[in-house]
Amino acid sequence: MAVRATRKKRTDLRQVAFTRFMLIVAFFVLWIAGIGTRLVYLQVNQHEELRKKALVQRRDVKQTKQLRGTIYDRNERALAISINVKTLYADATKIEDVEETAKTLSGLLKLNAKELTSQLEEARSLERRFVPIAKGLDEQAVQNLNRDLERRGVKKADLPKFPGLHWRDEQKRSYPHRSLAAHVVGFSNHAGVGQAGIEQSQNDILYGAVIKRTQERDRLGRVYDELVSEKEPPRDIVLTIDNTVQYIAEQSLEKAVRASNAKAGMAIVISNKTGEVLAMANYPTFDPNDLEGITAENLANGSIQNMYSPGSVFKLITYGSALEKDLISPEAEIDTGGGTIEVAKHKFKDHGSLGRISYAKAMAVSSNVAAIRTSLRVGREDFYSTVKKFGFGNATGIELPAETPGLVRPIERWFGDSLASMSIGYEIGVSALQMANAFATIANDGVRIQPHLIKEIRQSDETIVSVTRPEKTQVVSVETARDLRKMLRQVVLNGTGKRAQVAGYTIAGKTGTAWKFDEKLKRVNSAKYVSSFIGFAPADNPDVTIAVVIDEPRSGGRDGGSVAAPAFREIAERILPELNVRRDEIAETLADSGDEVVEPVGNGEVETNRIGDDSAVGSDELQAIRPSLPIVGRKPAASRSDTDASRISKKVIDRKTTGTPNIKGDKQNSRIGKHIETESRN
Amino acid sequence: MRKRNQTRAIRTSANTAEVRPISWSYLLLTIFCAALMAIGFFFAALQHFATIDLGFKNSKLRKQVDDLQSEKRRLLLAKEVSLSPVEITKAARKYGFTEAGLVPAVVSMSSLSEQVRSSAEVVEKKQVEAVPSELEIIEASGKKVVKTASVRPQAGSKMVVSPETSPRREPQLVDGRPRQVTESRTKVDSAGILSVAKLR
Repeated sequence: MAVRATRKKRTDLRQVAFTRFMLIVAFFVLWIAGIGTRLVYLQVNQHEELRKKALVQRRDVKQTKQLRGTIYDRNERALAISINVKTLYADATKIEDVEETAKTLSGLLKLNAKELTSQLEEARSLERRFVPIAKGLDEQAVQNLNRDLERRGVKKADLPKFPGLHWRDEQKRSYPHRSLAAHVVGFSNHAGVGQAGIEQSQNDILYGAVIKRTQERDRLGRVYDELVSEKEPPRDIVLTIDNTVQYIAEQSLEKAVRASNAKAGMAIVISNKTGEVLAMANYPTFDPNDLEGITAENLANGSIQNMYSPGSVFKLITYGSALEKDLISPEAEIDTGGGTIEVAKHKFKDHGSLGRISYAKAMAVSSNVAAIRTSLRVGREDFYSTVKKFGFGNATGIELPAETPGLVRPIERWFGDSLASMSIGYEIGVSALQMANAFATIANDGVRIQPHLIKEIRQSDETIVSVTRPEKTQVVSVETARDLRKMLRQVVLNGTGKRAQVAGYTIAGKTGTAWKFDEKLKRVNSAKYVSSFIGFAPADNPDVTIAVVIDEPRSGGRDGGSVAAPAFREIAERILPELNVRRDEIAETLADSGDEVVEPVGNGEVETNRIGDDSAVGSDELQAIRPSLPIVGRKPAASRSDTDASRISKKVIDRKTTGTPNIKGDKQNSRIGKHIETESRN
Repeated sequence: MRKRNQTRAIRTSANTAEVRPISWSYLLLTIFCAALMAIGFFFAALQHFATIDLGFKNSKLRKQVDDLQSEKRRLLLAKEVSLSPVEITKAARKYGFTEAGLVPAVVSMSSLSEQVRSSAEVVEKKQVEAVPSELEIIEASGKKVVKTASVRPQAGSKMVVSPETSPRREPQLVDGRPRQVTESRTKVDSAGILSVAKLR
């Protein structure tokens, strides 16, 4: 019995323990089930709402713009750089004490307290949440302002320590050298989009994309995790421009333009061996930091955007094509007759009667008659072909916007005297850069290198992304280039370009003085000139080509030799040592201080005033070249007589069918054919 | 009977086993597991807080990098501004430097005479453009204009330049007269008479 009782008792104890255990388990199960149910409810039913709340609490999404790429010159000097700045703005709806806030801020920022108060109150009444107070503050100014605001002991909620005041990250584009190379660098607007120059043409490379930063913050607002959206960073551009050379070119150009009371001026310096543009100066110019000071007049980059009749500098092409065909040599002689020549009833003149002179001398004294006769020997097709080979009529492809291709009409649209006019630099439109490039081609043994402004593009960590490799084309033979250099040397030694001579260096170059096209007169105006001098140094093995073009000099000697050549000399004598160009020992002995040689100006059109044929030129072309066009004078169709028009048309037809120029002239000129034959035999 | 006794014996042994207290080994194992879990949680927590802490530090460093880069750019800009020609000119003037004329390292007589000639021309051109504008201004104001000094060079007049003249030391000659002109001043006296004088 006792055993049975004990067993029963033990069984009861187990039961009790088991029951208690089960109760506890049930309690926990219920507890966990309750919590689980609640969690399921929160995480399933309330998911979206709670998620939003949590994200708002801890996540902060910021959109910032990457800093725009920097533009450097070839010596790593920053020409355009962006920096971070901050704008202090007010959320007017959150400002508690407008008066106190305005008073404090106006004291610190030197603003008018009353104006600021009324501005903030008005914004608050309109519930405006963005009222800019101070723009473009740098980090130092921001820190100072924050510190000063803290000192005031006013209630603080957010940087800059006032409720409703916030900082906004922005960037500011700065051009530390102000107007230096302004036409090359250009400028960008407030939105960071390039508007001119390299800033515009390379906007895609320089543009700083907007990046999204997702920051996780703790309850104190400290960032503990950050996710930054991947965007390709903007790249930096290294230009071929040399800061010092550019400065010298600009300074000398400004001096020349002011001295001659000219309308404008252009100066270009090109490295012959590489095609790198070391300087591209224009006057008048502008300061890209001051957008309000930019006008249509000073914004235009005349070096590439304006085209003009080059005048006598184009004789380089004329003699170049003749030398290339082996028709002439610098030492061979040509009879310039009485100093006049008539081609298709158009009389061209020299400054005086020069008689029989060598081609080198003809180039030196810039004889129109010699150049015209030479071009007639070359012929239309070959002359046109040479002109095109030198790149005229096509944009050079330099990395700047709105480059003019110039104007070279196809042979089918030439007049009877077009070849003659073109041979002395009329009836053709060129840019200063095209002309400088043609001289650089001769300086580089006939190899034309595409002029370029961008040396390399690289990432912000200085990893080079791309290097410019310009196209190279052999335009004329090495011998032709050498002969042309000899002839150009004579221009400076004994010809129209004596004022370009630089002590210690041999200089070769050519002056040019052309009448400008007058929009009002609808023909060339003999009172308006474009004077230029383009040359290179040292003459035998040239390193750099310098082109100076002065637009409408109004006082003093207005020819290229008087206006542009001194500016050339000033630029050359300062930049050649700067570029470590070796001095020539023979330079001193060669310099000739004889009488000055006056350059013949114009193409004779003012005297003969030949009436043009608009159908041949094309009204679109005329319209296109009008703004700066000193090309060729054509009377408008309305002003010409029918007889004149029919005469010209007939002349064009005759020229097209026969393919030979209609040459008439005085006794000397009538012997041209014979003379040509004589020279051919030579 | 025998079978019944056998069953009882088995039950007795089973009951004895059920009531036997939990062995130390089990207890230790449980404690070990619990401790392991606790330590695991502890380290996980440590890791978590370390991550958060690293996040803070990372964020701070990133901000520092941004700030330093901004500062670098700002300093680069300041350097470029201070090295710009305008600023250098300003600074040079402040220290008393004056702009020197261009003097080539190798000077030839021909280039010297050229320099003299061109600089004399510049002077002439400046006069030509400066005088009429001043006269026009006065004339426009309705005052009587009387020239007391003729500074406009006569048309066709030839410039006389001495070949030995140094452009730095000797005055430039225009119409055979020495001329040292750097700026012009216009004076109008009480009677409204204009006198234009070129002063050094």
